[in-house]
Amino acid sequence: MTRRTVFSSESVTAGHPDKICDQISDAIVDGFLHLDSQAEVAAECAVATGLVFLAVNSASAASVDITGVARQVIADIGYSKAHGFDPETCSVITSMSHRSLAGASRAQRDATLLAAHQASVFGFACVDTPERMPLPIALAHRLARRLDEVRGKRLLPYLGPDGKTLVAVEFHDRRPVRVHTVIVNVQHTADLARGGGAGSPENRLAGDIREAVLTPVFTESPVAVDARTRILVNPQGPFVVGGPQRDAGLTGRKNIVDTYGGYARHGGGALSGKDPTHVDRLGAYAARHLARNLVAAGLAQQCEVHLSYAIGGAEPLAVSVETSGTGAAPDEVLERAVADVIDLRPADILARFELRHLPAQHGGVFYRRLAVYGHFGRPDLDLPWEREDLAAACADAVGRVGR
Amino acid sequence: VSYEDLVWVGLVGLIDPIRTGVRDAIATCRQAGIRTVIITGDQSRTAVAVGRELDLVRDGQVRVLEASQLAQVDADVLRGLAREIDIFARVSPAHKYQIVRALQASGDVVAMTGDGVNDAPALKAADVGVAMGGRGTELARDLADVVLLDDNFASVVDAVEQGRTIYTNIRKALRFLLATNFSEILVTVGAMALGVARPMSALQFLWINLLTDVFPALALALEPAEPEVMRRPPRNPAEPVLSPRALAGIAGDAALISSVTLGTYGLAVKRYGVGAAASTVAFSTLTSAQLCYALTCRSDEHSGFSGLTRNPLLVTALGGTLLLQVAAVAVPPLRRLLGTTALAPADWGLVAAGAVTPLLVKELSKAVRTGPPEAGGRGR
Repeated sequence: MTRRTVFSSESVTAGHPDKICDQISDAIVDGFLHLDSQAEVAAECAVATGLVFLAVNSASAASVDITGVARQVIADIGYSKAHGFDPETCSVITSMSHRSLAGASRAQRDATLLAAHQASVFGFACVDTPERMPLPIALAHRLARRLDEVRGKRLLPYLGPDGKTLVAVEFHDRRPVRVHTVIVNVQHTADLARGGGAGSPENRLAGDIREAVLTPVFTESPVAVDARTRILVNPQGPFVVGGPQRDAGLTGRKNIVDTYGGYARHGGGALSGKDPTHVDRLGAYAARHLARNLVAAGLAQQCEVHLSYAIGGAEPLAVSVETSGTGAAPDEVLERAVADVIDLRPADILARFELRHLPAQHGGVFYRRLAVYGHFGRPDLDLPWEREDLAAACADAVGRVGR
Repeated sequence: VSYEDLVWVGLVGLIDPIRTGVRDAIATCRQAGIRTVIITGDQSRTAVAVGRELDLVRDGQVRVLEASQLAQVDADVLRGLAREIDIFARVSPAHKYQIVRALQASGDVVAMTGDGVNDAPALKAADVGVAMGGRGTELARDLADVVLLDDNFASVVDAVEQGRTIYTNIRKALRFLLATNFSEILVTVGAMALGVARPMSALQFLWINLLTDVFPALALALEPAEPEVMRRPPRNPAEPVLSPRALAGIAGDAALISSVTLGTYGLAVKRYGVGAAASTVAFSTLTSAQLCYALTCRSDEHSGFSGLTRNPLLVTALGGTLLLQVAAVAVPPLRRLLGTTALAPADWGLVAAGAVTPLLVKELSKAVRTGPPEAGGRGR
């Protein structure tokens, strides 16, 4: 008998208050690393009505105009006075502690980098989508991205930057079969009500969103929207006041959106606002890299890799692989194979992914892009941890270990 | 001419340097429990650099609020922020008023420096408006409580030190005047209560009031600053000049002086009987005990003798008044005027012992309370 389940994941648009914070935090990380690849930085951000709060701890030879970065991010997202958050005139409070360090000695220290924090991180991959992400979060991200695209291109000129999406997918024996529910909540200006055309503003919005956002996203989806799919657009009524004017935001509040939509376990550590020597960040990337390559090698239909790091240790305390019975080999074999294929010490991950140099390689804008639409399964970005460059090695190693 | 044709010759950087002494003045302020807040039109990046140079750092953090539209910030939020922020950047002068009000609302006494017409509302709203005399506008100078002739922040800090010194000196003088006058009342009332005749004549009391009370009190008002005046927290503006506790202390001191006086009077009465001779002993004891007490009033914490040379006026006042008192007993015309008699050497000894007793008691209790000097630091 088939087991029917429904799983839902949400995503948010670039203008969601928590996401504004994540993007500002990561833009600050970018700002430091762009100028000084050896910079250490931790940037926390909070936003409220007309207010941005930044707490930045940094050790770097570089000096970054943090306030300017924050205003730039808010402007880039598309906020303006009309949306209740003016990038030019909002107040920015900074609490900064800065240590100025010479770069050379730290570069040498990297070779023996130890975990500076403790962290338990998970990486996940599955065969549901080409980007090897669970379907609900992948669809939710596509909707959120499409919402921002439609707003950016002014296809629906009344859209505001704040928005949320949710996609619930029905699974039969862990295989996605149909879209159960789609919810889109999006900020709009008061013009919507005044706009011409027939029908109520609510119906007009729902029609526009279906046509401009849902249709393009679901035509490319592995499973389709059917007649029974519930589609809700702004079910709670008009959404005119949005962004930080409506809800305060905080860095690190959207960890599930940043990862697998709740489909896999989560270690709890936020990704944004931390320079890549933070083990919860680089560990999460490394774990995803392994999971994705195990799936790419056909060794599992779905795979969760768990890494534990303890303060002061170089090697992870534990490496475990969980394929939930979909593996081509027993999980223990995969675990041993993984340990054989790749070095999981922070220093090696840092060097392998060139995490410190990515912002400079991308013109100073790298981590900030990860802070919306997820850090994983990003076909739009060339991310080192999304490359399937270990698949062959994984398959070989399983062959060796299995024997 | 297109930009491509231009030749890069060089780069010139300009700074508006921080005046020497400001960093130290801010450090002094911090020790004195005064928080320095910078309000500037500069960008926060500049403000952070200046803040760091001035060591305007709390717990290793430079805290900056960049707000070109402060009017949009909720008043409650601003009140909460005001205590946490050390630098307000990109603020237009018109918004200084709001900052001053927010600081006051959080319970602080606010002094504010300014020079422009735009600063006027803030200068007026501040508890102490400080205008620049040199580059300040007429309006700012008119509205300010204080005008700085040298436009130097360090002068504000000097003014605070002098203000605190004047305030404590007023308290010292008040304490001296109240204690000595009260002791005179207690001597009279005490003698009556004990059933002894009035120990002193009206003229003798007048002499005390004119000479021994006035000059030391005046000299006490000119005491130099105590070394830790800028290491103490600011006083609570709601607190009275003399707290009930201080008044009780004054009453105790008065009781001490008067009981010593009555004691010597009693011994003198025993030897000479009631009359001019016994009165002279009491009169001399009271006067000189009061003079010695002036030394006690110099400080609540330090010895009455420490740094005495820094107030030569007090030395002169005490020495001169003591000489006058000796003259009142030794010079025949004055003796006739005041109704005193010459004193025997033993009586002089008695007077001297009586005079220094209150001083010794008070100095001893100070030493016990504040601990030995080599232990460093006094109790708080």
